[in-house]
Amino acid sequence: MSGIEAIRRAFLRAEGTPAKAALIGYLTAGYPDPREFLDLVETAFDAGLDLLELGVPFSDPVADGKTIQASSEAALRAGITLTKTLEIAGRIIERVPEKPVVLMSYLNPILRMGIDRFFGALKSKGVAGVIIPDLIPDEAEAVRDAASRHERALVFLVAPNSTTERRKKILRASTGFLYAIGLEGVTGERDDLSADSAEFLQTLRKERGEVGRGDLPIAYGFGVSRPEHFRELARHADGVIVGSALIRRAAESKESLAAFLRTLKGVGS
Amino acid sequence: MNGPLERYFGEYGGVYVPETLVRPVEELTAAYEEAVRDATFLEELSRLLRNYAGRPTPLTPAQRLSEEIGAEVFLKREDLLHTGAHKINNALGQALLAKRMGKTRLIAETGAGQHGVATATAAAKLGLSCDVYMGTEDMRRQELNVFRMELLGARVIGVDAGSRTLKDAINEALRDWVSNLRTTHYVLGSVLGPAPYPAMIRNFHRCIGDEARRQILEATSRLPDTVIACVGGGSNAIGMFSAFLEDRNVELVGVEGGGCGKGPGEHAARYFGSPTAEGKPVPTVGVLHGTKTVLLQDADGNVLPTHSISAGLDYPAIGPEHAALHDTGRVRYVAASDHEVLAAFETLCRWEGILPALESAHAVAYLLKEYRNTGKTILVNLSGRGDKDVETVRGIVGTGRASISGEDG
Ligand SMILES: Cc1ncc(COP(=O)(O)O)c(C=O)c1O
Repeated sequence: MSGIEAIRRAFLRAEGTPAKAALIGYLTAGYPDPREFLDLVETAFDAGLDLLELGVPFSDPVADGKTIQASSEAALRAGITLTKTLEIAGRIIERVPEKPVVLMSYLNPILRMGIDRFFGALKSKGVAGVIIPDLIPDEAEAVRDAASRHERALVFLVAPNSTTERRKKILRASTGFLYAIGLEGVTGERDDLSADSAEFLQTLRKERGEVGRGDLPIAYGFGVSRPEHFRELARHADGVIVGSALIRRAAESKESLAAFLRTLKGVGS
Repeated sequence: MNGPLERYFGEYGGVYVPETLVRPVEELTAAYEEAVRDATFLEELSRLLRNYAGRPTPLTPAQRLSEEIGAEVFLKREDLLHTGAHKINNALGQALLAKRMGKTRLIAETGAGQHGVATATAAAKLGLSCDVYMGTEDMRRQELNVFRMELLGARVIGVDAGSRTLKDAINEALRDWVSNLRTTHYVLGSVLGPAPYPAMIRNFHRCIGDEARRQILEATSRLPDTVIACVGGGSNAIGMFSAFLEDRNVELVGVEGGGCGKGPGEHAARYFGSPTAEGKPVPTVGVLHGTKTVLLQDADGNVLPTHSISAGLDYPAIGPEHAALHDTGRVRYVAASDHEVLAAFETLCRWEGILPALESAHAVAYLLKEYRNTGKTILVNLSGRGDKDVETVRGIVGTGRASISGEDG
């Protein structure tokens, strides 16, 4: 199955549940403990995670706040590289084949591996696609070619300050889903959602129809930290991405992570 | 100064940033291109450079040194600029532009502290607030410059992530910028980063080369045989080289920080190469801080720590325009070791009565190594003064030892 199709099905399944939107979780590969990481991910899927965004640790994560930076540094110290992350992804997919995994990697490790080799590896491991936070469509020709050749999703990000013209360009370029960055800033927990998040999502929904991408799911991320954030966003987005708030629980324990995921989706606590 | 700013230099450059930074870099491009067509802006900048920063800087014939080494050496004296280095050319240009864009706050990264001091100075002069990011390791190495920035009213924010040096300070400045776009302009300190920074910053430093070319023609009635400059990100070098690129007979040489060895982490010389699976290091292309260029990285694509005796050259990537000039062969890139640099530092002190910045001493070191008894006319860019480095040098050679170069060759 193509990565794009696997992602589409996950969003469709989530739409039919009481939560209405897909719960997408970011975990840094191998963090906090490489030996326990597969169990941690399995627990997360059991607790309601619909799609895993598996973070590739990198020496210079400019889009990330303190929590993800620290997890990335710790994972690097534990020897987790892009190659290791791909192996980890493969093992996750063997264990839980029905839930899609996408990588989230800065561009440089991918360039170092070779763009084509990287997408070939995604395909052979069954990884659905990749999010590259420092790659915009304007610079992505070679990466887009390779992604489409290997039938992997290439998820682009749109920001609250992107112009209309750019929003449309990004909607046209993105495959799998669209990553709507909720705020001008870096990843990290926030007490409140930005005031204009609903309006931003509504604009994107309207424009996705205008550019003929009505089928492209929109997922909202950055700053999502609480169950009430999830509930509010689920009314406007097809998926909600939670990163730093998950990492913090993952660092505590599997149980803490699972309990948090369940409260996010509003099933028990 | 006022053509459109290049986005690419050959296969290098570009805009590799999170989407949230696209709009600010586009606004910056538009603001620059509009400002440099406005005579008021250009006059104000040139007035500041002249009356405040001290341009034009002199070209000094290094008479005793020339006789000693058997070559005709001229020094472009950027060390005589206000705040002690070329960095002020760019800081004033960007600060003036930021003010024109309605920004009230400047942020900057700094390694040696020179660019931080220059930005803090420009902010004070133009009435803007200023925060400077600096790796905690660099704060330790450049204590005095930290205090200078604070005296100038800036806040110095220590960065305790990664290698705690310049590259980590840039990461943190980028994070600050993306969080405060409405009020804040990021004054990047070298010809790095996403377009338009590399081309814009080069243009702010072009005065170095334009003046030097005119001055050496006046002094000798001909162009120099060779022009040498040190290369961290490459701003002083590109400012100098730009004026000579079309002069095909003028040899251009960029000197990187050769550090204390050729192993990973022992130097900051991008053209020593990065380790590969096959063993032999080769220069590698990658993306760091918004630009595609040649950088030092490990086999997994993580950026390597670097070392140089001079904090200002201690950075893993070279500016994208330099990477392109390397590939066309127009500029030759070489390295000077920490040890050669200390010897050059002493030589310039003793023979010319000039304390060069350790960064600039790299250019002098290569001069001493390769151009003795050539009889050539050589223009060396003295990008900054060495007062900031006196403690570092003393820490290495110890007090009471007058000679540095005698140690082991
Ligand atoms: C005196 C001096 N020269 C050179 C440099 C290196 O920067 P660049 O290569 O951009 O000129 C620095 C950086 O701090 C510096 O302070």
